[in-house]
Amino acid sequence: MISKPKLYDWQIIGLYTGKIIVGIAMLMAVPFVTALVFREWGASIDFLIGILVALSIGFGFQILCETKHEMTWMHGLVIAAFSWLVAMLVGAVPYYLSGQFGSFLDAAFDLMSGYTTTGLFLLQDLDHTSNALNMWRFFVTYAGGQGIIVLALTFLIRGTSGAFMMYVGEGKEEKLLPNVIQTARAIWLVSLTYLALGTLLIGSANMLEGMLFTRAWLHGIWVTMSAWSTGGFAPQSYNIGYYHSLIVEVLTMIFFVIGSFNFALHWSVWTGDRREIYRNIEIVSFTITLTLIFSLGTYALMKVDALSGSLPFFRKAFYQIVSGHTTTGFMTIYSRQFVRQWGVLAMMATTIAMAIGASAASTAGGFKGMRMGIIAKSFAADIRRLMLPESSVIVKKIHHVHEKVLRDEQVRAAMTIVLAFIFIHLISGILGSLYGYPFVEALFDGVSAGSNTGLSAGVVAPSMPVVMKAWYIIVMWMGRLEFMAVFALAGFIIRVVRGR
Amino acid sequence: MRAAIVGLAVMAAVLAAPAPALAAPLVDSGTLVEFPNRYDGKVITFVGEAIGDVMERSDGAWINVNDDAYSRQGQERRLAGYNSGQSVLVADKKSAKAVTRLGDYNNRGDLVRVTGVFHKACPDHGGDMMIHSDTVRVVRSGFILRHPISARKTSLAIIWLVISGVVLTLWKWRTVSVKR
Repeated sequence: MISKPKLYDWQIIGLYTGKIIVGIAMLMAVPFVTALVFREWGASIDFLIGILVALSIGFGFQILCETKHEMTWMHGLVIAAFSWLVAMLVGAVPYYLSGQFGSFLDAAFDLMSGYTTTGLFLLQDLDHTSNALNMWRFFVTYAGGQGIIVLALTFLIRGTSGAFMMYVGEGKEEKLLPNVIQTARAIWLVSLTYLALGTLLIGSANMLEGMLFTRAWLHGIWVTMSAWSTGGFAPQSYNIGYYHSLIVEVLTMIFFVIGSFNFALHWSVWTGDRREIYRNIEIVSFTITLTLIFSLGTYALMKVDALSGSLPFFRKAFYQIVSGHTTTGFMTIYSRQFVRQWGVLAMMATTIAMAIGASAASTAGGFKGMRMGIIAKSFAADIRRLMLPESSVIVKKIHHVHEKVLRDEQVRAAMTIVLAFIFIHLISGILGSLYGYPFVEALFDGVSAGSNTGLSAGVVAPSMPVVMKAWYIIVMWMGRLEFMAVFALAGFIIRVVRGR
Repeated sequence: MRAAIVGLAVMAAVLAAPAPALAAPLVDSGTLVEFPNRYDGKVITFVGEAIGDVMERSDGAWINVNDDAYSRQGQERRLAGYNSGQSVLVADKKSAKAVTRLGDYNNRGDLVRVTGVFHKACPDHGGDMMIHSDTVRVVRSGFILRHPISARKTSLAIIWLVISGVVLTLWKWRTVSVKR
């Protein structure tokens, strides 16, 4: 028999969601100050309202849900899923007030896209957007990349035994340090160091390439936030193509590739184990799949004569495919060029790259290199088993920070998540087709949303049907949280409806 | 009204152009992206709002030019979808200096007109889709965009200020009473 949730279940979920929403209010202080510094008074009012709404809801939840009950595994997962939804609605307030969205749904779409580091957007007239609003777009992406719960664990939630459950619910499973709060702080230490370095390099590059001082450095920090978080938002509608700069493209590529690595790998390298870079299963998996997909993409582009010369291939084909594979979504071409110039085969190669994605416990999305590695190892072991005598014992091993024996449960878990991803991608493709989009284009944008990438073939647009916008919000959310927390929330809702 | 004036200015600019430029068809960015092969390597005319930055490089100055609905708008702000435009490399950097107001949050950029060779994937510039132009001409000067604060938003801010004040007071009171 399914039991209805008790009052304290609601209180625990409400209490921690409230704390996370207060964290969102604190984040909004940054664009608010930006608006004041740049004398963008209209934008400053938008963010002031946003902060007040977030504070009211956040503290309101905490007043109504005061409890001393301990959090359980289920609570942690439900909080992770639910707080992301509430954070989306609250964070969308200044977006909507800016007047640059067709509806509140569009604003919520962009917020979820930012939090999940997807990079698809419905914001209109991006090229006349305030610095404050842009700051919010990139700040949301940067915070979402590390995880808004990681952020709350770092600054707002102390010493709770259930913290690890919320952390896992946000799609990260690995503890870099024995304590999850210390792990959250370590993640921020790594991220802030790269942000400082990236801003310095990309800001300097922008100045060298002819941009004015203030814009060069603002773009420097924003593009670094987006690159490191494998986000895909850019301050101009031309995305990275705006800069027409090889150096900016190379720098962004370095940062989004590094950003797509597992935080555990970063921590190993930081603490002195540099050999991990070459041995880690996710890096090996990423290198193999990138090589195969880029070869396929190159063949496809040569076949349709879309590009000529090695530099155009590097700056267009390689950049787009690496951007897709790391689930970044930065582009140096127009969306429609995928359809009009790249053709179906190159689009499919990019779609596969996006679907596979990058490393687990990173800022990236997709199936993840870890799962691809696990499935490939298991597949190879099964083939070996067929060739060897029945009595032989095959031990499957993977290297991720340490040498680990691969168990069947891990293979099954990896397969389940990959199948869940394939399922939502197919629904996205079919749904798009039902609305009249060509299947390849609908699948391309659908996979982009579900894998939190951000490349687009032009399906995502303010004119997109409402149902598709809502579905894309759901797949971005499910893809980022890797299903488990969403399933836990669904289970909780079923208990509410059907429980006794 | 302003849109009509801008439209007339564009027409006047096209009519006043020298003969070779008149031979170059006026093409919009949507057509260039959707049918790149049709115009690849051909001389075209492109009119739009200069946005963001004029980025000077050794071989010219890059200007990103938007020919979307926003480029024709005045102070009023109507949503009209995404921005769209083309990137232009102006060989004569001096002429690029004539572009003084660039589109951003505070400014509607200068409306500029270029005539040059369109490339669907320029091999000399990393495969960029772009227009190579010798010069750029300002058709209409840009202007400052005003962003007045509406009374509705001010009222909304006051209402939420009161609500959050009450909630914070209650929260503080509750926290203190729980500690006791």
